[in-house]
Amino acid sequence: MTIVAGVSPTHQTTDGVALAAMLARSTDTDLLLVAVVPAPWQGKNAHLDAGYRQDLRLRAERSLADAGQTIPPEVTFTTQVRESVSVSEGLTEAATETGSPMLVLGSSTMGLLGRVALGSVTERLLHSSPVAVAVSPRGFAAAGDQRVNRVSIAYAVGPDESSLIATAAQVGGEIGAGVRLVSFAARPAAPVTSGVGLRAEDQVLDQWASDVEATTDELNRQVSAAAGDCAVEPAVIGRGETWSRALEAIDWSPGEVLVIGSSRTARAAGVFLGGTASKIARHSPVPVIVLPRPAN
Amino acid sequence: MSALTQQLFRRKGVKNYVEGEAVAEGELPRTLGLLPLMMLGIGGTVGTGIFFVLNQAVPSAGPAVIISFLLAGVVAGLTALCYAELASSVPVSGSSYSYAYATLGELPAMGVAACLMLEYGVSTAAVAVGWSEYLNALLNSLFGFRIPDFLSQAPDQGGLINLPAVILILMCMSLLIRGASESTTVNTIMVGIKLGVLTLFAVIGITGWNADNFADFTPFGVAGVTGAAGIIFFSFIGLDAVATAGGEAKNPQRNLPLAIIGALIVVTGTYFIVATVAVAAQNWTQFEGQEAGLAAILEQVTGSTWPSTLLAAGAIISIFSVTLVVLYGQTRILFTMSKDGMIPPIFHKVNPKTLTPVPNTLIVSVVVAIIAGVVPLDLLAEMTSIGTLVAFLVVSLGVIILRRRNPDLTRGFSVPFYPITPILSVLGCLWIIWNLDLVTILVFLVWTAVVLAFYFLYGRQHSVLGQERRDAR
Repeated sequence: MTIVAGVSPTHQTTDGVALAAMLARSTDTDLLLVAVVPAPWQGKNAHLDAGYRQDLRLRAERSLADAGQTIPPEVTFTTQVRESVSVSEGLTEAATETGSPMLVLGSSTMGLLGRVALGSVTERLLHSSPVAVAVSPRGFAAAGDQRVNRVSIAYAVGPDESSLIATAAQVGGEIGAGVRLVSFAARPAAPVTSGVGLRAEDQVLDQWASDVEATTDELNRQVSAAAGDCAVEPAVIGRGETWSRALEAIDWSPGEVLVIGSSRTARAAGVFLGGTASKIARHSPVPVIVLPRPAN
Repeated sequence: MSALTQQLFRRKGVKNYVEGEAVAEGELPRTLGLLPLMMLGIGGTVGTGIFFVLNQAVPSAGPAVIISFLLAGVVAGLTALCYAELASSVPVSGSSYSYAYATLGELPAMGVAACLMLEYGVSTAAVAVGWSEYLNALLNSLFGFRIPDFLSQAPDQGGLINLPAVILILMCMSLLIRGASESTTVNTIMVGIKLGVLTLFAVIGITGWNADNFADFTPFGVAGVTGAAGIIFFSFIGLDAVATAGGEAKNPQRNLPLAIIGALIVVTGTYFIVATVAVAAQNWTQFEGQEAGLAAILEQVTGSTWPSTLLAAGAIISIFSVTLVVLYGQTRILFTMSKDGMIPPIFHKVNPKTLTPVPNTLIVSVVVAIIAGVVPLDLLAEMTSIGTLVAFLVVSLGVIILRRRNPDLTRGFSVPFYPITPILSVLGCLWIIWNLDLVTILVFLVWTAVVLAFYFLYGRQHSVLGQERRDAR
């Protein structure tokens, strides 16, 4: 099996490659680093920009070579420069051709260091990819022997998350990582002048938290069924006035990944990041993996 | 004590409350200094009633309505101080329902809850009706067009339904269901808008000063003045918000009374100026039946429409935010009651997607919208006033009872001049209530009886506290 990692032909960022290497090491798979350059225009003048494309290709190869330098020796990898009309399409094609279960991407360079920032390519893939998409926080780096040691599964009460939980927990169990369920709530504080106290919203969140806890037992059973008993860690709830506070409220460990499911509205077997999931992803301090909706 | 008395006056222990309300993880205690507390009081109070109570109050007091404002302000200040003491004796955050439950017992708490439904639910309706008046005034001065009476008046006043008020409440409902809130910044902006348009009114309105309008100063004597104070009390609701935020106050013993009194001075001063300018500009006999009063007076004084347009626009924006916040308050009070088992559990069902109590918000909004659609403003305002007054009366009694029963309790704030302050507060409330319309008092008594009957039939058996006590036995 192969994991496909997207590498920019021009920007020298390594966070995506670092994540890809950590994932490949943890799952004992090899890596395909792909840089996508623009495909030539169709038509009789297509040869005119041959020189330009040659230059782009060279840059892409250099970029891939640089990225390869950062990959620890025990991870085997190959590189590829692809021509495609769009970067996301090129990456998707690479994943389909190699039968890869996952695309790995870095954060946008516009984002905050240490947080996941979705660039335009990532954004598009998170709404169209046929395989899982992993995104590293900006500036992500992992020690040469770092493995995924904990898989956190973000879930919500209500929608049926059993296939998300089963898939993520199974992979977590196979790679020997701990698996836990996490749930988040962000609610602004009560309006100050409402006269019912500044903490009026706490009782609403308390109620929500107890609803969530009521379902965890059952879901944890699903987790242990898929991952094996040893790996299951207690479920946690993060809450705060903003998404960023809610995500900060729980502990994260190095080597942790956060798994999020696709929206209910995603097409079958496709990735589509929902509204809430997108907020969680954008405030995550650890790499995020978005799984496609199960094929029916 | 008999078993029944024990049941009716069982109190939610202070310990219980603290455990039940474990501070949420990662939440730092907020700390409010004097100025934020004062702003909170001003923001919660100013502008709710002043935009429309004059037209209800002036016909019953004449120009002496300005005395009514001072009277209502003093009583509001006394009750707010008592409220602050009670709020600071029980380390819970919440409304006076929670304080009453912790200090006086289940039955009084239910009585307070009945009052709060008037102070919040009915006042939302009142505010929405006032909003619809200003909406009409704005439409009229901008486009020369009015929503016809049968769609903008209560049946009692020759209409069919007050549609703008209903729509406003349904808009607020959808915002609350989606999880909207009013941030401190928005609150500050709203305070600015409200004080701004009121200043505009005073500055422009004073050009229409006519001392002759004061000639017949007290056409209805003292009774008229106190009667009007009852209606006006409505415009002082919100001062108690300072007390409910007391748990977060820095140095409450100093800052709470200063904030309450400071806010009261600003608010009463503003109201006094606005009322004086209004009765000087327009003869008191012309107030009755006038809609969107302040805007109408401005138009009359200046003979041009732009000042009244500006005022109406300011009123529409700020009253909208008030409606949202008060409706929010009502849903959260019912949420607490439902958690306590006093009303059915559907009121504390939280939608996992929006994280808001959706059924609760729907029920409250629909009921309030119906009330706003069909009940005329004067009755709504009086009902709100009597609810608030009785709630404050209970709170003031609570201060006295708690001082006698638990003299050693640590209080974050104690009222100055005990026992004079709470006694005056009780008497002030009684006096104003006494002068309200007989119909108002009767409707209030019937309403309270209904709520208490509901308690005897439902809450008494379903009370979570009662359940715990039974289990413990």
